[in-house]
Amino acid sequence: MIAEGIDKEVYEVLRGYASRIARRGYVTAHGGNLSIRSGNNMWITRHACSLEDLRVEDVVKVPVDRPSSRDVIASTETPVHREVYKRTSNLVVMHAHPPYTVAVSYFVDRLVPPDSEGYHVLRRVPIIEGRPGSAALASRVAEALRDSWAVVVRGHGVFASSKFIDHTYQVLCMVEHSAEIFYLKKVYEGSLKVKPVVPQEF
Amino acid sequence: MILIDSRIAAASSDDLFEGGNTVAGWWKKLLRIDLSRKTITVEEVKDVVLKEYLGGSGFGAMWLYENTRPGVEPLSPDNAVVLAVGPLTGSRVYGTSRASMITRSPLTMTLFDSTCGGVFPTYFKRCGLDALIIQGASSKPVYIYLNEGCGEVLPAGDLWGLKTKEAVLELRKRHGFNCSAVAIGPAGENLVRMASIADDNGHAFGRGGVGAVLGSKKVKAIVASGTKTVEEAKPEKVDEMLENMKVRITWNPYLWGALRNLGTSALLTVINDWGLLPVMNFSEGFSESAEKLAGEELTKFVVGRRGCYNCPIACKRVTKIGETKGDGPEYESIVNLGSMLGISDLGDVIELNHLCNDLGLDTISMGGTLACLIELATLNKVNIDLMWGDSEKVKALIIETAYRRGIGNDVAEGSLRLARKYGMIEASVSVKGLEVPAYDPRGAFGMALSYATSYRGACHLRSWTISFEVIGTPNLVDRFSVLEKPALVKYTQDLAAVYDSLLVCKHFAVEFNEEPLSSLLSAVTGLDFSKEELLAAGERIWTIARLFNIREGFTGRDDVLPPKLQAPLTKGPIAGRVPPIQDMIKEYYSVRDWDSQGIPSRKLLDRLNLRCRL
Ligand code: SF4
Repeated sequence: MIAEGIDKEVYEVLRGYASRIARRGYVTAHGGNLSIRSGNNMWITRHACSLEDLRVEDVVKVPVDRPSSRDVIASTETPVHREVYKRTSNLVVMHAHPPYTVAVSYFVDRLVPPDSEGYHVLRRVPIIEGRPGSAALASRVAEALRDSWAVVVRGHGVFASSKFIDHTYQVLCMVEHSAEIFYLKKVYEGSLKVKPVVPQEF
Repeated sequence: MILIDSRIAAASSDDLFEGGNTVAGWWKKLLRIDLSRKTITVEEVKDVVLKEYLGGSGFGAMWLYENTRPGVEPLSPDNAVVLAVGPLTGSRVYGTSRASMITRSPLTMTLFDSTCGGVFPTYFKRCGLDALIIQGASSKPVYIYLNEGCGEVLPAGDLWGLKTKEAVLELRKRHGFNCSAVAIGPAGENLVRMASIADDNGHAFGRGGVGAVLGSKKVKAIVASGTKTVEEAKPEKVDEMLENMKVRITWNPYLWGALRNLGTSALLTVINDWGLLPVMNFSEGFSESAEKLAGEELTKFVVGRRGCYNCPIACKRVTKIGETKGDGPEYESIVNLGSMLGISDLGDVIELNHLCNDLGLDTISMGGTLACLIELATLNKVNIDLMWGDSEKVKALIIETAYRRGIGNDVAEGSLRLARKYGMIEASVSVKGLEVPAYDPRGAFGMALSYATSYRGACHLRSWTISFEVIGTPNLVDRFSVLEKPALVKYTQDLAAVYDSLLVCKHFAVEFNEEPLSSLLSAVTGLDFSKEELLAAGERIWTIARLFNIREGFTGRDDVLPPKLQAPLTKGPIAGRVPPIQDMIKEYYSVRDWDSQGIPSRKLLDRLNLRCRL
């Protein structure tokens, strides 16, 4: 079984973060995926699994440099993860569909975080387009992640990636937080009909 | 010598092949050849039949039920063979160059439909025919030649004895290369109960011994060379749907990732990881050496890729071993000629697969029966020197089987008859006499129910719950859960009946359910088909197949798993697991509206408009 041979720690770590992502409401029942790179392989969540309750069978090990027969059950976004690992030195990729970020992506071409924390860590988050699972999208995401911790796919979701799993999770949360602030700022601006006060120092 | 005067066929063509009241998608014509009476007739197929049974397997099941007498011996002239295509065959819809051959099987004694892809089905459809029916038997070898406006029975004395590919190539030389043919090999000629019918590109009507039925009628081959255009009632709608199909095919990781990249062999690693890999006649479910048989390994032997006519996926692999080129092996063949026999050298498996294709043998039943023989031999139940993993002896045995020589004569009977003869029936891992394919159902309970209840015996193609239980496409269902399985199996069986009657490649079922199928059918035929009507047709087809089997003496007692699969494995990922088959069957009968003996209720027959056919 797939559980055999899996480093128990890798599974436990993935399970922990998968559940945190799900608890935050960043994915629906079977959405989202995450992976950890290990040498020339990556551990990735399987297609159609539930991040809320990841089972050992839901994690599959596939090579980074080529498609493999285990791709048959791996996440449909496996080509994206693969491309990110090929073009960057990152070791973790997380993908989720946080609602504020997805909503905001319809209105802007990049997300400039209006909050200080987001601004300092993320600076700006590019927003790109592409069909989920396609080679073109994989390439665009990987290219964007060479210069950025996160990238938003318009109308779809966020890919966050870095060398550390907790940092990647932090980035993911930050993008959504910034998008939420962006949205609220716009709502207040509209309903209060006043110009927002821009902080002198961030 | 022309057995049937070609003028009869020519006259028929003038009267009936041309014109008439066709509906886009169907010609509403069948050609009936009676080899004993030496007649050829062209008959019209009624609208209601096409709407209710669609074509392909559905049409064949209905026709056999109504036109063969109870107790018909599969290898007697009284048995009939229906070769049928579907309303989508020959259209621009992807994955629809398929045909179904339906008959009473000499291996299972059940109704049996076996489908085949390639280009032959399209040439057949372009002859202006929905179906060909072969009845009676010839006293001398013949082949059937079809093109638009002509159906002839021609002498095949010089072809008798040729291997499948040799015969097909010879016929294509004879009739011009703008045609296609399927032929039996020596196995079919020698009435081997697992004989197949194949073209020259590795496509075959594989299972159930349909090749032996043609052999019993002395029909070596069928050649089709039609050129008629298959009309589409709403071509713009078809255009639109094709665009949508393209997107969905390329988006689906199984179709565009696994199948396109590695062919069906892509399945092997995951099936082994999950403990479902049949090893040495199902004595284990996991093999340490499975990597040696995996898709990645197969690529070392691959020299080309091809597919059925008008399929963008092109999942077939052309392989070369030594100087010999051939087609496949597919996943099922790798397992049944590999891990099932304790063989882990993929080169050997490829060679055995090419051999089976050439001789006209179904690789699944061949492997399953040889695994049974090896088990009997290792337990000294049969007096031959045979061990697991001896590919040289396996090769010799395959040849002996095709020619019914020595112990091969017993093997040619299939595993159930073989095991029975040598006093150890449990060595046959089969349902209704059909050898179990390459997924151990102890690790996927839906497959257990699907094997036990399929009308043609243990079959993965009548309800491939692996797509739900392992692959997770279109949905992921817990493989050990029981609750959802009866309804899932019924649904997938009905959908499979629709697929085999419209004649769409079943790989597509991981992405396209009854909804897009009904839209495609409506666009091609111009008739309104709702998804509910389509599934009801599937249910009707499944039920008439059940009625055929009941007529032939099958009962609920035949809906069982073989003893070996009802005992747990002691090691590997699925150790200790046994599907609660009785409970699932009980619930399945109730979901199907069958009584506790597995007999369809009167209410069901009324609902499906089947009472009139009783
Ligand atoms: S997926 Fe493979 S078997 Fe199906 S139609 Fe295409 S080539 Fe033929």
